[in-house]
Amino acid sequence: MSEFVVGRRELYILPTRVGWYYALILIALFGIAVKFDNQSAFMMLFILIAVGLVAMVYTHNNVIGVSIKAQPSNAVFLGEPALFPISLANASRKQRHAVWLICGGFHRLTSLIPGESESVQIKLPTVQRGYLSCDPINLSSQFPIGVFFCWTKRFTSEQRCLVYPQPLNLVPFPEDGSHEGRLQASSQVRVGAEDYAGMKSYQPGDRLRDIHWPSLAKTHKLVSVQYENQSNSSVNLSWFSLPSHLNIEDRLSQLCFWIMEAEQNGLRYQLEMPNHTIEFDSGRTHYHECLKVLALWGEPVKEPQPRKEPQPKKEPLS
Amino acid sequence: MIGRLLRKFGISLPPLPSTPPTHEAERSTLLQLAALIGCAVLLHFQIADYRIGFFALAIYLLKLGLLIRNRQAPNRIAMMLLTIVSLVLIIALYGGWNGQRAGISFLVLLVSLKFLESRGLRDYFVVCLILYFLAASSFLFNSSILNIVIVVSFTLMITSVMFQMSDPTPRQWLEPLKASTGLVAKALPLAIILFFFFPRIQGSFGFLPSQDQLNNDKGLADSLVAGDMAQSAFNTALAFRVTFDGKIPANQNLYWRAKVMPTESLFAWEVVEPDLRTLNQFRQNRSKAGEVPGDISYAILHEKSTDKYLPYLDYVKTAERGLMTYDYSVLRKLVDNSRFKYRGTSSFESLSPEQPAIDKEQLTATVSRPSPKMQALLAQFREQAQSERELVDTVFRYFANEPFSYSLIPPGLNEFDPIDDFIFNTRTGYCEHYASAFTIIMRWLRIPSRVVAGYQGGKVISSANNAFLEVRYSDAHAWSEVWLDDRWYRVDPTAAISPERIEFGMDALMELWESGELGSNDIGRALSNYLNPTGMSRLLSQMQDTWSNLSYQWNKWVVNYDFKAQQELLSQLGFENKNSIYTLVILMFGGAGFLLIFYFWRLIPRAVKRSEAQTYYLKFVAKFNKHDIRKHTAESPGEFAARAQQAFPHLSKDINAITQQYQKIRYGRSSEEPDDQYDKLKNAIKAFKIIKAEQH
Repeated sequence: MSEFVVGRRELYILPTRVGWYYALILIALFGIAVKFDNQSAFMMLFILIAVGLVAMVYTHNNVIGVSIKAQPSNAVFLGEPALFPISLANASRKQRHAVWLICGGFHRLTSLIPGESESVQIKLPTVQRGYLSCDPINLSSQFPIGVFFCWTKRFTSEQRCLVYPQPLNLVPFPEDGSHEGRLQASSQVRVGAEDYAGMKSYQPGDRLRDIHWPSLAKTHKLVSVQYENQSNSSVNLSWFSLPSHLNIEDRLSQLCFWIMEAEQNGLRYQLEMPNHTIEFDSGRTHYHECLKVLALWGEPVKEPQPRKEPQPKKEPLS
Repeated sequence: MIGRLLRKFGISLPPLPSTPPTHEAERSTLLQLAALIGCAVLLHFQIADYRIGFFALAIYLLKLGLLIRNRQAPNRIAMMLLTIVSLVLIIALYGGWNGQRAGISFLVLLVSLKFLESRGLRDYFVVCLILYFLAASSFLFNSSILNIVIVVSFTLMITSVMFQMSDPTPRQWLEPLKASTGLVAKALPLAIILFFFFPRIQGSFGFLPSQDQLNNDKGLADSLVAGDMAQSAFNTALAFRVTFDGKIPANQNLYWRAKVMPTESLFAWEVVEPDLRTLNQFRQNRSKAGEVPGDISYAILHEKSTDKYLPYLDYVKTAERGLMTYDYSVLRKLVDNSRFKYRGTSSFESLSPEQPAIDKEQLTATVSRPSPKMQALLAQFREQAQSERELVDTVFRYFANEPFSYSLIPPGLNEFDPIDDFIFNTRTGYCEHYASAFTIIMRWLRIPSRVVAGYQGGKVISSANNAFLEVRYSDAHAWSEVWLDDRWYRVDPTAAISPERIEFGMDALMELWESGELGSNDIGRALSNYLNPTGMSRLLSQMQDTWSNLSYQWNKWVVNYDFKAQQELLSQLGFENKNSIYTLVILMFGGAGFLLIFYFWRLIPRAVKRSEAQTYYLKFVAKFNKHDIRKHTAESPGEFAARAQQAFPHLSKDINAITQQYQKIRYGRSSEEPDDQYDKLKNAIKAFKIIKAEQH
């Protein structure tokens, strides 16, 4: 499910610790009212009971009807926080005050104005490469006077965040043409040439220097110049070229670093893995394809492993 | 904690989310809380010991200083010291924990110490809860309407502080106050249902602080010393209220007997408590006397009192509460400090013939001996009168004719011979001087007599459908009774000195007293001014009457609401059921549950209906009908607007704005329709008027 509307069956409510103290006070007040047969104390007791009950309705209605929608998230490198964009929508005419969005150890307080939606970036730490799925999301609120708190059923987002290996520079960048000699033959692209091949509309990932600026001034559209071969050199980034003392994760990290380096320098590169080779190319798509291979290296299935459940949570306090 | 408990019973809670981090309380919120505690501490001065009040105030000011300097709490050693000092203070001043005042003082100290010690948000929540409790416990001392208004608004402000603390978004104080007013306003009907239908069971909780013994400072004392009662003339606190079954009798007949004082010692009089045997004997006799058509029935709603004697109208025939004694006073068996209601029947005349034979010796015994000067006067009385009845008349006339005067602040009397000093020298006194002097003269003349203390008159408060009488402590009065022809006769010597006291009541007299006209020649005119008020004073007295009426209803329906009143309410609602507790419980849960479900349903957030916009838009279209511009069914709002703009070019801006707003709501994205857009459209359409452009 990519959208989750908080309905009555998805919402639970209990007194907070302050709420239990409140109950204690009410019991003491009841004792006093009965003992002294004091009707005004009874009146006050019932006012306080009623305030508590109405606060319960308020708390419950503060969260009901809010919808949570998960947006796709961008890939990050290991060590960077993973960001899961979530949009919270309030399609009613009521303001929602102080609603906590809770996802694992992430807490964010939001206030939703009537009819508006708010997007929240859930920040979760990354601990391993591969697919990271978002922790179950809860909404919680103890809005009016903090004697009751309500919380929703867990909403598990289908959105995953791809975590690339952490880039590490352990081995110097391979020399140009270290391996490509024999592989170059199979490529249709001539090395060292940069022949004009035509114009195409700009796509994200195109180099800044390829943008044809004069046509921007004329047409207000970004156009980039295409060359037969953008790079004057190419490089083979191979698993096998890495020193043997490196373990798997270090190798992946090193390859990751090289790919970033190559992409930054506008080189054409190929990624050679033991069971898989991605042919020479450059550009964002190629870059991400390579990194994805590294991120998912060694996983038997393409599907992400089910993450272990987050540890049981303590009762929230006031 | 609760989760673990439930799991033992096989109920598992749905997974709880992790705890959000607690936030710091806003400084402005804390200052508001501080203001509330300040109020509580100041109000506390009224109730409990002032030393505790000053100590609490000092603690409070310390915290306030810390808050203003943006610091939270002093260190633990200082806290410990302060706590020990407060405990010592309470024990030293009250001798322990027991008692309401000690309890309240304890609460006040607790709230200020807790406030001083508070660091985190939860501490401040606990402070709020103690404040709720403190507000409620102030009712043990004062249950007036004014107090409940104060307490409810106090509750409102505490709730507002709690609002601010549970929502970390900083806001101005007004908005949370509005929100909490909304909450409390919704809670009040629920509270009223609970209040009326919650069965009032009787119970005793031994562990709770016991009731303080209130010194009976405002009621009538069990003894009468000349000069004491006059002080109560300025005590305008309410003693009791009376509703009569028929018409309210004339003021001069309203003698409320509370205590009969047959024992004299040195110009002072005392009550004698009857023993059980005489009581029983008397009850048998009295029950033979049936009711007579002329008897007056009434219901008394008595304010808090610890007095054993209950006031009834002279001469009581049947008393709902208390034991009637042979001297027509009524004794309570159980004394508790609370308000109570009772009914009674009385006649204006004592029973005839009087039963058991009176003890003539006791009723003519005096400790004081008449001085030679007094003996001469007594001999003079004896000469003038032939019979006992004439003797009484002579003495009464003596008081009327000699220049005796009535005063609310009588001069002190000579200690050694107060009677002579009064009769021959000062000749100025309050009712009890005259009652005492008259009675003692009667006794010296061998006529059995006694002093009666009680109340005289009262103020009639009338409204459209009911009228009742308010009797205040200032209406306290003393008079004499003499035994003639085998029955008791009431003689009020005060009537001889100050007839207006008896005829018009204490209020009239007080008014005169305040304007300094008492005893002057203008008394008649001043009295008529009082009785026929004009303009401002009439308005003022009307307001007073309305207020009295309101507080009467308040006392009847809230302060004295008990199980009996609940049964009455049930029968008025048409529930003739023997098991009223059962009915009450059902009504309470039914009513409260229904209201809660209604709130739940009513307050549930709802999406905005798009069709509402159409209703407004059609009104807009209808405005053009007069000018013969009609919208075709197939025409879009845009096309219609274009036509309308053509016809009224000077209005084209408004037309355009309304049409665009309408289209935005009706065809825009659903998330883009908050309430204010509707309001904008509604207001724009309301304001839109078609005015023909001026022809140039």
